Amino acid sequence: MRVTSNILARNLLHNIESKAVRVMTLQDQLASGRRIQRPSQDPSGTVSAMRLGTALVEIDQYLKNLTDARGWLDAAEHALFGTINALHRASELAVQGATGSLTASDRQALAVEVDQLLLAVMDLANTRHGDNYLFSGHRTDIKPFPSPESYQGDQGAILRDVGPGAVMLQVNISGDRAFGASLAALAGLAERLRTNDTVGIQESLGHVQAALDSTLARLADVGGRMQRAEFLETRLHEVKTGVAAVRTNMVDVDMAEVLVHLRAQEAAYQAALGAGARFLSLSLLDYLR
Amino acid sequence: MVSSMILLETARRALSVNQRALDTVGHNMANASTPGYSRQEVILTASEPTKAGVGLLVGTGVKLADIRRHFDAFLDAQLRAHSSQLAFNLSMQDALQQVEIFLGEPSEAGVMSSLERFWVALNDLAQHPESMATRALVRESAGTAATIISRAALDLRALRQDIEETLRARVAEVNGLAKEIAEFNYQITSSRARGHSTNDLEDKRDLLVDRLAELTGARATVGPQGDVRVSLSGIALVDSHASHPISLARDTGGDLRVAREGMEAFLQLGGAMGGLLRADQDLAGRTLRALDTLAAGIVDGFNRVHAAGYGLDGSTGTAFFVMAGGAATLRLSDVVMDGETGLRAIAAASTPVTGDSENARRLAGLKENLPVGGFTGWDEYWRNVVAGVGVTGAEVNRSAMVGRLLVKEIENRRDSVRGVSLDEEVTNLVRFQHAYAAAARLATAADELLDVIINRLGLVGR
Repeated sequence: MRVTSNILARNLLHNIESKAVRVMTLQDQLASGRRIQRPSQDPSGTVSAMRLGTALVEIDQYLKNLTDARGWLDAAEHALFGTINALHRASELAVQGATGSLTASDRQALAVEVDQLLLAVMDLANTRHGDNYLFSGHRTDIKPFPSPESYQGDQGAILRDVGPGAVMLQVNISGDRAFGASLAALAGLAERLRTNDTVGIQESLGHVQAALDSTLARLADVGGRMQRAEFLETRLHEVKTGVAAVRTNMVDVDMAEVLVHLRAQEAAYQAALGAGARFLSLSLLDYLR
Repeated sequence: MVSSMILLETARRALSVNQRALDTVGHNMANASTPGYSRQEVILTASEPTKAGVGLLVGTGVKLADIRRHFDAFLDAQLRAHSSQLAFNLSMQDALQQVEIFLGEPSEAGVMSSLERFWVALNDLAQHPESMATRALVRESAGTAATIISRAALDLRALRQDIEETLRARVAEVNGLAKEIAEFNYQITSSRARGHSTNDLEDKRDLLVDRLAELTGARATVGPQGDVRVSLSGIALVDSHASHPISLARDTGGDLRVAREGMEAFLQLGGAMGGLLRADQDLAGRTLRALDTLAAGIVDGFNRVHAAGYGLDGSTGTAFFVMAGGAATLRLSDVVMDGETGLRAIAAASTPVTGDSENARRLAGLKENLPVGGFTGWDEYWRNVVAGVGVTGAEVNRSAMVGRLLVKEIENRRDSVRGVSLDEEVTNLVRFQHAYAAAARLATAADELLDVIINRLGLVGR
């Protein structure tokens, strides 16, 4: 093959250019810390990186939603515990009040204590979580029980998305279902103690017991939801660790590896430049008189 | 009888021929780096002998038979085909790089990330429907997403305009080239008819043909008179002395096309212009339509759910986004943009009750439910769009890389045939210089011979 000066120059330029491009790509990776700068470098990698990135954002948000949900459920559980304690005490007082040896003034004293219990349960039913009333359904800005017998809230369910594919968790329970029976039973008991209605007291004892049962059932419900929230949280944390690891492999640059490649490419680049400097300057003219 | 002057004549011819040879060496050396130049070579041959008695012929020296231009029509055609393919891919690559920058994926500044932040804000709104801070975050993140989408759409529109302007300039260039080539064809055929050498004219013309092929992917065939015909899938751009101008047009779908003036059918362009047309349709155009689809899906879906809900102020039926004429015009509605009032109008509730955040949850749920361009959920759709650009881009990048190598190799092979090697020319220089010196010496010798005859002959006894 005849080799002309243009061929030498063209080959040299091509070698230098292709090596410079490789050095530049590696420098880009090193500077940004990302393996993929543009979709065309690795289309499927780009899509995976985007999918995994979105998955991480979602998981973080679901975890935030779960934390919020657990806040609501914790507060509800606390209020229900308090109510159960109050109902226990009330049933003791009812049993005491039903004893025949008590005088009317003894029962008045018991009524005063039941009134206190009623107020305590009302306070619990009017618990606020942040700025919101916990037990007034959607009407979180309205006090659910301004008085024991009139529930001001609604039956609105407050839901949180806690997983992909519309996994939802209800974080509230309506006030009248949680406290209605208890408040009515306590109010009735206090009234009957005050009016010295021994027969009625027996009946109220039954109501208190029934309210206790239903409150325990609510507590079990809330407890169940909290367990589900904890389970989901653990699961999401596990998934997150996995996704983050895959994403790091997919997106992030292995610095050590890139540095080694960069060194090698720099050497190749220098070799191309050196070769050019040596060959291009050669000419027969140098050897003729 | 051989004339005694013949030696002088031989010397004269040798001097003159070697002078021409040295001229050609000089021409080659001077044009060593001239684009399109084909090396020329003097073809020397012995001149007709003369009779020197019965059955004897004596040589009369050298004669210049031809000055040959070295070229290989097959390599020329191959190079044109491959450089036009490379030019096609490079045009695509240019557009691709811009489209990728406009999309900004994968990064924190892309469409996807902005929509994710909006989704996060909607989730926070579902937790705190009454909080003005949360509402402000929803409005801000939605505004950012709308801006990023409309910015990308505007950039893509600008790119399409840019491509159109470049195409217009290329059309003008092609028409100019075609005209020049036709003129060269005329000069070449008429010079040949007069028996003149057309080496340098052909070089200049072929360089223009190379450029025309690179721009359009046209093929060239050389006729018997040395004129060239340049055509695109059978439609001639240059036919001997005539050139046919082309112009930019649009097809019924509104896509850019190129047609020969006066002809109905569109040209099947390759080369740089073909690449520009394809980049306009498949990269810029398709991505812009994808953005339009995404924006339309978001506007429809969000507005439907949003209008069904209630704001803190009890307002309902409010539009959240507005768009009038493609993704480039996507923005938040005036109602929502209106200060504190606008924040209250964000419909987080499904009933006119403060603590109800059901609608915010439904808005966030659109991430998975929103129908966009045949996909369910915007994520899936958008990833698909980005993948489409990436796959086209990867293919273009790969083809461009291979094309560069191929073109380089063919250029080298062509140069090996027609390129000037300075070492070779220097060698020839020395060779012809020596021959010239020898011819001069020959003339001196002939002179001395004649001197003997003319000045010293017939002086016996003087």
